[in-house]
Amino acid sequence: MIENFVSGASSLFNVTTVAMAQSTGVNGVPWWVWPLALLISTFLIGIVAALAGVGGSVLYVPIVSSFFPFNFDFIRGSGLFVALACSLSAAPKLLKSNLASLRLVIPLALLASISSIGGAYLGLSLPQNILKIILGLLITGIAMLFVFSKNSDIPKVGQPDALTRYFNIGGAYLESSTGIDVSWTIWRLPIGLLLFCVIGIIAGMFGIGAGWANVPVLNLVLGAPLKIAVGTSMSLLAITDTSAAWIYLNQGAVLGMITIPSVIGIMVGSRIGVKILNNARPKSVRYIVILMLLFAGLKQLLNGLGWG
Amino acid sequence: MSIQAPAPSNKMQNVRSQVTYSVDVSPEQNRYASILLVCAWTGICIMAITFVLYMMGSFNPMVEPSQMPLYWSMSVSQYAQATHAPTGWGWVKLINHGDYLNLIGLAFLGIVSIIGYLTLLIEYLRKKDLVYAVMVGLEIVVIVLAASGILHVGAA
Repeated sequence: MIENFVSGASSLFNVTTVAMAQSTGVNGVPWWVWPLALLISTFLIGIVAALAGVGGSVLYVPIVSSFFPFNFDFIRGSGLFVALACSLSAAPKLLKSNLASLRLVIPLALLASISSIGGAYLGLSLPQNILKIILGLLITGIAMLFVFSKNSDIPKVGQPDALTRYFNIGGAYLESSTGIDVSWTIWRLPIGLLLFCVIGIIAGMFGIGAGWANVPVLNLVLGAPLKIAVGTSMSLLAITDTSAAWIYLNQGAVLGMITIPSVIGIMVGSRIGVKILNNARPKSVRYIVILMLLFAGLKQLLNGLGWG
Repeated sequence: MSIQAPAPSNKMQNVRSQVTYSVDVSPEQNRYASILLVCAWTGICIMAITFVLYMMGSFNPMVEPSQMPLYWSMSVSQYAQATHAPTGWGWVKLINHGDYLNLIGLAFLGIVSIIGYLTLLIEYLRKKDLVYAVMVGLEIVVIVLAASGILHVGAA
């Protein structure tokens, strides 16, 4: 089933790309081709992102900036709203199921959101070719991270640090596959706080939600169980991306014509993606995402260097 | 991947006794989640409705949808110059125009977290959890500062 779906999706994507290519530079092409193509493309990105378990905006920013004629400023502004909307729609269920911990979210989000404001200013101040080069390297690096990182379902945690004990960070959740309650805590919180400052800067600078970085840091550095890391990351994005999104909105870098079809397309797509997840082969979808990221990352890099 | 049970040392067991483990969701987390859920979908509905109105050319847009291809490849500073687009909260004065009406739903998504955090602030103050009350209060200040438009940047 997943092969049929992927083949159908790629045909639809090709039709969209051809429509876009035909309309480039051709007089008399209806203006609505672009928002419609954006809606269809983001719908497909939403499905693929949900199947691969990645945030939509990490695919959205490099893909849209590679294939659409919109300025990079507006794409980054839209990317933050895409990440924000996805996070706001997913976080409530995770919080209510105790798969995300507010006591963990609050300190990390505070530092990440402050640094994301700095990142947003950096992003709006730096020349676009420099940004594209850095984004190209970053996206290529993320693809490599997906290839080599080995998340752990329930990592072994050493002695919780003093800050973790002081904040009383920990909890328990029902593991549905085994029917048992899993209790958890974290360690190395001070290191995690520093890393979340860096993640915040990157998220604000490029308009990409930082789930790709949040989850490994929460899981591999802080030692949160994978399910808690994913749920907490999703809840974190609702705060982190809000601060940076406001900076872009106030600078006038958010256009409804680009942002709204993107948000709607990705949200509908990711809901459908989640529904077909049971019949999908996550590994094959993951390879598709890695290839898409590698392609988009290298294209950004060449574009930034003036070779693309 | 198989699920492995954590293997804490005796020393860790002692430390862990200082951290509360409960499978129950705290009331403040539950309330916060409900607020996010309701507000997020309200914002998305507003966005969808205002976008359809804009695409139909309603509310006399400052930049007609059909004219957007002339502008969307410009940088944000060039776009502001060409269309006299306001910065900061200047767009609020223009919400009688279809393109700026679009921003209401997006701005609403941007205040959802503040609404949720205000309920958390009240709850933490009530429980006398001052550390978390301070962190939540600071987060509200950070988001309000970002949203205020006080901070400006010269776009490249």
